[in-house]
Amino acid sequence: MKTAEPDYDVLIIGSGAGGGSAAWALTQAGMRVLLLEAGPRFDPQHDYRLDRADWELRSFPVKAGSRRRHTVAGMQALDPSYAHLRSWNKLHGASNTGDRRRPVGYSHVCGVGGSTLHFTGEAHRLHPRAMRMHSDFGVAADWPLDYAALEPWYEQAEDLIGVSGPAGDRQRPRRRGCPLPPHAPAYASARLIDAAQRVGVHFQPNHLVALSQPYDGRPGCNYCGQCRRGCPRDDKGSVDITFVRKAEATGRLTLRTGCAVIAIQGGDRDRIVGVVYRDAQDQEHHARAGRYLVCAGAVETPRLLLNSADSRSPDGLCNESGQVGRNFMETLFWGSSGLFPQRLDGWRGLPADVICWDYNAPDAIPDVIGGVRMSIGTLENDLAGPVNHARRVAGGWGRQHHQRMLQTFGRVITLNGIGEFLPNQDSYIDLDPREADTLGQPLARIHSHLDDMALRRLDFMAGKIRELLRAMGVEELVEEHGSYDLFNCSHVFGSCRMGSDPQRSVVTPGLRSHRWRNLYIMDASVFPSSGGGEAPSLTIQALTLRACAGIAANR
Amino acid sequence: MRIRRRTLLQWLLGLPAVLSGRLALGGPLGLSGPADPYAALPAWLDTLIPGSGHLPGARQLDIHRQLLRKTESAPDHARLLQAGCRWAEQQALAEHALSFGELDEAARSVIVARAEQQERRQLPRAFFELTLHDGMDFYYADPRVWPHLGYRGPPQPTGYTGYREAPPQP
Repeated sequence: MKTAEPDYDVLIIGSGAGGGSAAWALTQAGMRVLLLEAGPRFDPQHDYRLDRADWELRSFPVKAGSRRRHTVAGMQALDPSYAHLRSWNKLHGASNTGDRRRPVGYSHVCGVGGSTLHFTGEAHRLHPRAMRMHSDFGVAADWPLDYAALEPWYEQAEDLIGVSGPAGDRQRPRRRGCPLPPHAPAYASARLIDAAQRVGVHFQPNHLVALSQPYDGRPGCNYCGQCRRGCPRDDKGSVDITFVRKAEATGRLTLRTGCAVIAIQGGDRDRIVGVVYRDAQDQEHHARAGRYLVCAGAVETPRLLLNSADSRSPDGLCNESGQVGRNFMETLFWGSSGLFPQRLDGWRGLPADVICWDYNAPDAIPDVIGGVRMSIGTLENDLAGPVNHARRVAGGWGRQHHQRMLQTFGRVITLNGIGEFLPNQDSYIDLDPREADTLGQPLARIHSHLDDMALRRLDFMAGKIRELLRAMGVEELVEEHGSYDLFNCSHVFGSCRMGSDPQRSVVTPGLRSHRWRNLYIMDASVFPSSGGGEAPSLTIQALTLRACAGIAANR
Repeated sequence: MRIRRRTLLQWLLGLPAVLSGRLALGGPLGLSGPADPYAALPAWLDTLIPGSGHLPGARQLDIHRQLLRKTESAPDHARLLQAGCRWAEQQALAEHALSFGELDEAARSVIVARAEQQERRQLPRAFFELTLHDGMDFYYADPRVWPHLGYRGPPQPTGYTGYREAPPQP
């Protein structure tokens, strides 16, 4: 192992929504920060090749170290009473022909900016009542702070990023509007808004990190629709080109990529004394700081803590409550795609540019606890270009294929829904007893279980989305998929829950470990509840900025 | 649907039996084989993706060359393409005493359809699926096709600033 380098004020593990915003907040406060990122850096101008003819054959680029391995435990048997929620494609049949849920994967990016590199770019505040799930509904756990306490930090994050969106929505109070005006809805989205109004459902412009006009030296969006393949223009406010870039500009940030932390070391008097990490050349290093921030996400953070078990923490670091890895929550998802009577050319615009919050409140759906949101999803579901249309919609071959292609291309519309996921005892993260990474560290093993309330929520989403598509005039569905029979998540939460009770939580309301006086967790693993489908990144950033203000005030 | 790796491996495990004539291919192996093992490929792809109206066909866009280029990094695919082309040639010779490329579209379509209807593990079906999937991918990633679909791509560098406008209807 190489000898220890100079100490830093703060050492941050992971540079996603939490780690990146922490790096900015703490360097702004004058602190020297070491940011260790296991993945690589991505160069927007060179890595995101949306200018190539074969753009559609490429997903978000994969580089060495940009994907972490994990395993998925055996999945539950499918409840036959919800068989109408099976995933299918009109050409290819059922996506899962078995009688158990099938794992597809946990969609993430490991790199500077984390999963914000490939995300759609939604910038959502949490519904205030989603923070009181236990008090109001007897489920999950309450957040140890309320919406009013978080609002100033939402504003700070929105200002830094340049969030574009409407002045408010019916669900979330706002003291002030967004820094930038909302994007005008795309043609397809405008048709959805009209049809939804006819059946009493309200869609509005979404809050997005894509810029609706030039801001802070970055250009406005040109509506190419491919946020999920990476933005080559810097108009999508991913963490690398916002928080991290500004942190680096202070001169107080040392950012090391390809550096995977393999252990966090606890010392006397409940203080962390350092971390061990491996660099891209497989050299081992030891680093020390006054404070340590773990920001690796709801799968990798518990993994690191559990892998840091030693004689002082036999059950894993920060795990005196037994809650590290527990209460895992995931994206609960449904999507339906069909053919609109005329061309929409839905490849134009922004993904999820309009959203419905009508059913987002925890008690908005009859006989169901936990809300949902719905949004247009053609771009997110990658049904925008000719390759995927041929593969998944037109099908066939020969002249019949050509006819079908000419008749249907440009007419696809997708509606997506994401819903609340309540923590349950069968959904958690632990260490795989058999599978390890190249460094010999046990992999995270994801245990995922849908409870009855999740199935009822899925059922509601599917029914409502199909109703909306019919209202639009869609007569032919071409594809549907959802969480009922497929485990395929991107938003993950809850596995190191925050709370005031050390027996029931891992970190305090200030995101500090209950035990370790200089260790913090700043990612979605601290969420006590998932919300009714809100994208988590803005809430992660707000929580982080708030916690970092506390650190800076007490330095 | 993308050809499953399992299907490809299952077919490759049966390759020695295929080559020795023990596995049914819809006819006995009697050919010594053309000088070009991929001779049937352009016409095969042109059957899957023919020129139609203003739309170019696969042969016109040299789709077969792109498939062959891909086999440089996928030797399994090369073997499947060769064996599939050989099968197609066998069918054409047996039924019409012509090479596959000499047949008209209707006759070629009968043979392609026969491949499509085979069991998943059989060579002709594996060949059909691989050529259909990769052929379609290369075809629709070709900018020369896009204007005929009314598709203006790629997404960058211009984006779609007219995204609010109603698109032209056919």
